[in-house]
Amino acid sequence: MTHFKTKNGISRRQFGQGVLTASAGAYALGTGLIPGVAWAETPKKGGTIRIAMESSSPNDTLDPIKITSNMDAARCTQIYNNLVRMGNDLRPEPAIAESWEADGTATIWTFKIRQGVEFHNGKAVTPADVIYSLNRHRGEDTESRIKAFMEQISDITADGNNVVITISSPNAEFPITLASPRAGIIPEGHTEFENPVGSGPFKMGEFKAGISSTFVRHENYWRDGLPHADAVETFSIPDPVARANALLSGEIHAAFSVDAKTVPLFEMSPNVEIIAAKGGQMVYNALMCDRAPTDNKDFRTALKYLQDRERVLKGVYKGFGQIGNDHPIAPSDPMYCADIPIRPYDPDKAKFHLKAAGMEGATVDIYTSTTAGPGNVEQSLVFQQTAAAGGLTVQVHQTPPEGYWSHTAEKYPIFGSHWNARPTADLMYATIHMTTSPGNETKYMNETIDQLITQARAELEDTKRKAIWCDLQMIIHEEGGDMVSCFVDYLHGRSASLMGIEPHPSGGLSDQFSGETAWLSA
Amino acid sequence: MRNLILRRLALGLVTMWVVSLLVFASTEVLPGDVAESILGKDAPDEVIAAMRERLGLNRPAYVRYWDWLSGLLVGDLGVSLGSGRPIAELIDDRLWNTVRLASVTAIIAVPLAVILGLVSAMKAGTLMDRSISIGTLCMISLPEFFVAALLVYIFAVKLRWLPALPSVNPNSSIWESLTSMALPIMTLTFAVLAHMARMTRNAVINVLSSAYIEMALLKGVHNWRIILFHAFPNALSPIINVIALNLAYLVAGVVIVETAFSYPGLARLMVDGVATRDIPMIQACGMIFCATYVSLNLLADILSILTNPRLRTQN
Amino acid sequence: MTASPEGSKETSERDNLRPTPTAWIAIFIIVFWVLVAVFAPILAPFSHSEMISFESFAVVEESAFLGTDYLGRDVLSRIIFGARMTLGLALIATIISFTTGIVLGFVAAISPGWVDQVLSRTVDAIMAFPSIMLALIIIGGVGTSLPVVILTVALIDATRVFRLSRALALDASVMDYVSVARARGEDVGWIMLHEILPNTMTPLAAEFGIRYTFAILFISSLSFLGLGVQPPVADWGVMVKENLQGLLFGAPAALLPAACIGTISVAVNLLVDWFLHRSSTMIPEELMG
Repeated sequence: MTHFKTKNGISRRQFGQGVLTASAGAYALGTGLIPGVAWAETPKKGGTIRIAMESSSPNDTLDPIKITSNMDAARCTQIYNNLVRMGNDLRPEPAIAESWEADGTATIWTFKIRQGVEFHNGKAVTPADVIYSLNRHRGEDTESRIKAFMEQISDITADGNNVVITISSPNAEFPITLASPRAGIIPEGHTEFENPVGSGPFKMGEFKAGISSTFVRHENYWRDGLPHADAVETFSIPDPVARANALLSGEIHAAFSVDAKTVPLFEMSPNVEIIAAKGGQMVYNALMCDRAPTDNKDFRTALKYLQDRERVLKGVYKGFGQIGNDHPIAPSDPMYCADIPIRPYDPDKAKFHLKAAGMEGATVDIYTSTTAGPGNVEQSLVFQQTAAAGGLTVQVHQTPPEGYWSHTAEKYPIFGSHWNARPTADLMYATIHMTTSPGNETKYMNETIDQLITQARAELEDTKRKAIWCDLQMIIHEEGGDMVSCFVDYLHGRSASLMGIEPHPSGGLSDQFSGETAWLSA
Repeated sequence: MRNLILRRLALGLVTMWVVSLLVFASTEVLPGDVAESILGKDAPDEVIAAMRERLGLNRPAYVRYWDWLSGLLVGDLGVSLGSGRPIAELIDDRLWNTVRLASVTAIIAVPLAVILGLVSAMKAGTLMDRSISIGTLCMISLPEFFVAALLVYIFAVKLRWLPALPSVNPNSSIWESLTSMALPIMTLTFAVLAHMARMTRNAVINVLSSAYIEMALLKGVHNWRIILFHAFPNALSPIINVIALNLAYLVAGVVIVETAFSYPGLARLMVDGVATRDIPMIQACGMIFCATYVSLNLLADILSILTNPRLRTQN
Repeated sequence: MTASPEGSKETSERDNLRPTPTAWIAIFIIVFWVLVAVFAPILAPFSHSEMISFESFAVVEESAFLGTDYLGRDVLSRIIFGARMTLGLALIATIISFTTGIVLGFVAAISPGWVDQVLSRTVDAIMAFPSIMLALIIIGGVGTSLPVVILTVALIDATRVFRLSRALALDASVMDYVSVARARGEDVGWIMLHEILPNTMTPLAAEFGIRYTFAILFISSLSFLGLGVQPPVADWGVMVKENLQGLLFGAPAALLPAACIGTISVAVNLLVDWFLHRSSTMIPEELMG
């Protein structure tokens, strides 16, 4: 669930921007500085950066196509490079491809492979390696988790120093698909992932599945002067209290995902800083529109009126988030429709709709789990309180994280769920609101939505496109099954001595923890 | 006596066989399978089906049981469904970590518990006895995860004397690994101390109340001599049994401590196995835990028989 | 060891019936918590689930003098309601485990060999399985709910009770009074109820105390692993777990529920100690510790 999925989409704005970024080469490569962030000191060399993440399992893998956890993703970004990377503005940026361009229809994409990128085994990265790596996602029996999005590729060929990718229908946002950590580039013919070879900033040191990994500096890394650290050690501390303790006691440099409620403590400690990023991380309750009682529109509306959004944001997330409006687009998204008023907390209106639905004084069950996104259980507990004012009795069922997604989610009419931020509104809708979306868990689907999305992709004028997006948000806001009280910021902790790690609006799915630009000041 | 020991061994084997049935059956009732759990909620059905087929999850239960059991008998633990690696390989490091933590804790906790128990028995009814009793009781009366968090907070975060994360680096010196494991060892010692100390005390007091000790007392033998040379040896059997139980706990029951300190041991591996529905992994860990319990109990039984004069002279 | 002369046993029991000071403290603590549990709705200033503040882990709030928990709920009220859940759940689980454990244990002791073997080996196998792992698998298999948690704890406890009651019944069944009853032609059920049970009462009662505190702690361990009592229900173990992050702030929300668990289990154990001590029966091996 924790990856970016892309569907076909076209947008002039983004189309133009992608080409511009690539051709201008404006990206500050090789300086070791991330644009927009001025580090007070010059980076120091050396040291081992210790990163603790949430959970790992014996199934940990170094095969990029099989990534299942944030931890796998972090490790793979340490070892591999992609054709493109996802910048802090969620736009594609050059990596192994130093530039790219599309034909007029955005169906034939030509990526120019950077010269002088070297794999850990000393071999230069060639178009053949890229083709081999991407082809692993294609075909009937691939186990790639982004198979559905790689299926749009109809052909990959080499053209001198370029890789030419043909996709089956126009998609101006195609390059961002290739920024997924799952699309890491490996040498042609490589199959031995116990002994991974990539071109990333760090190379294989020691890897113990389910325990830890220590990767050491790739001396011939293509970005001059990077990485700064000698090694990066990544391991898991599943218990949030233990993770916070380890950070506070100075034993680790970065703690992935900290609880908003402990932020005041981190702020008191001089040795620890918070890495906070606004993003479209959606932690919400899904109302399934294909079964009783949530198939009743009035009932859904009543439930939506019973959310005290401020209270959830303040009480559960201590304000680290943005108010949501019962659709999956966050206020920070350029396509967000500010014209739709935020639905207020209104028990009276809720009562009216409950009556219309014949559900006055009813009892409803919400199924949730700690794995259903940070604060999901707590959100339901707050809802239980606020819903009482509307005469609705809510029973919260917290089920074990094991097997939640396969045996609880989508089995009950109301369940907690979680989607990571997607780089574009289009990708978000394609993931959860189209008829064909594998992630359409609310089962609210109709042709209007599908048509509007297709229309939006084809619409080249910004204001018109945004108007279509407003319609799409309005439909879900009014009719859909998304009970979105708020969007949750990504919060990580770092030791004050760890520099060069920037907040990223996509959380752990970027190369935020690749260690590429990170360095230790002490 | 030999017959008695052989009988115990036979019973142990039967128990192990029942255990294998239980372990297998319990993994059968777990809903969901590894294909679903690895591929996640948005995986297309055909990808899940392909994985199931490849892993042989579609075969009938008795076939899989037989496959597993016959593998087990020749020491083949099978292959992890999730990672495709041999389970023996995955378990190797973890088992060593578990054994290391358990044995260091045992070396500290067992003698400490026996001494505390003996002192209590000797001073039965005094303030000393009561303080030991209440002190050890307090230790087991708090949830283990709370004790762990409290110790970490005090010794690692506030005082910074000891690390919050135990190092499992095999290259570190004995002293380094001891200090790095100090907090988990303390937590576990808290958990097992009371049980063993109380047993030692009660067993010794029981023997003290018996007739022949009164005889010795009448003969004017010194208090501590009586306890060490007369009462303690005769009270050994229940003490050995409870030590065996606690040792088994140190190997298999430490999932809370492993979680609180993110210590990569076997128990955590099994929990991960349950989470990902990696059945062979659950089965392998389960069998190791049960075998530890059964063999420690067997050992305790045999030691009890050997140390018990009445049983020793039988046959 | 039970065969002390009748007369002297009478007098010594009367002497021993007077609780020691520690026993008085234990009784006081237990009665206190039982009263708190019974009168929870009257005593608690708020409901267990009401969020009275936006501040998490507040040490002292105007309206909440023991502070607030991670969701801004009143810690005092949750401790008061938690007494109900904590004491009640463990009690139900222990009663179930004792009923099944004793019945099966006695049956095993007086039944033909093969019944005993089947029961004993199964119980051995279950006991060989680390209890928390067993719980993890059961709850993973059938899902979390109060009845499942109670039954899981009861099952695990029942194996221990089985072992003890079987051993006690074996001892008792060779006693004269059982042979006499058998000779009179009484059936197995009557013998169990009228002869064996009364004569094994003391050690069983002591075991009850120990199992009871075990159940409290075990349910809290399950909560730590996310398998225990459902929110927003207040249970001391759950409270420790959900507020554990507050420990870093020194919040009462994390410390007090742990202390409550501590008081009740120390009290019960002290009472058991006194109880065993006062009875002149020898403490059975399974019981000590």
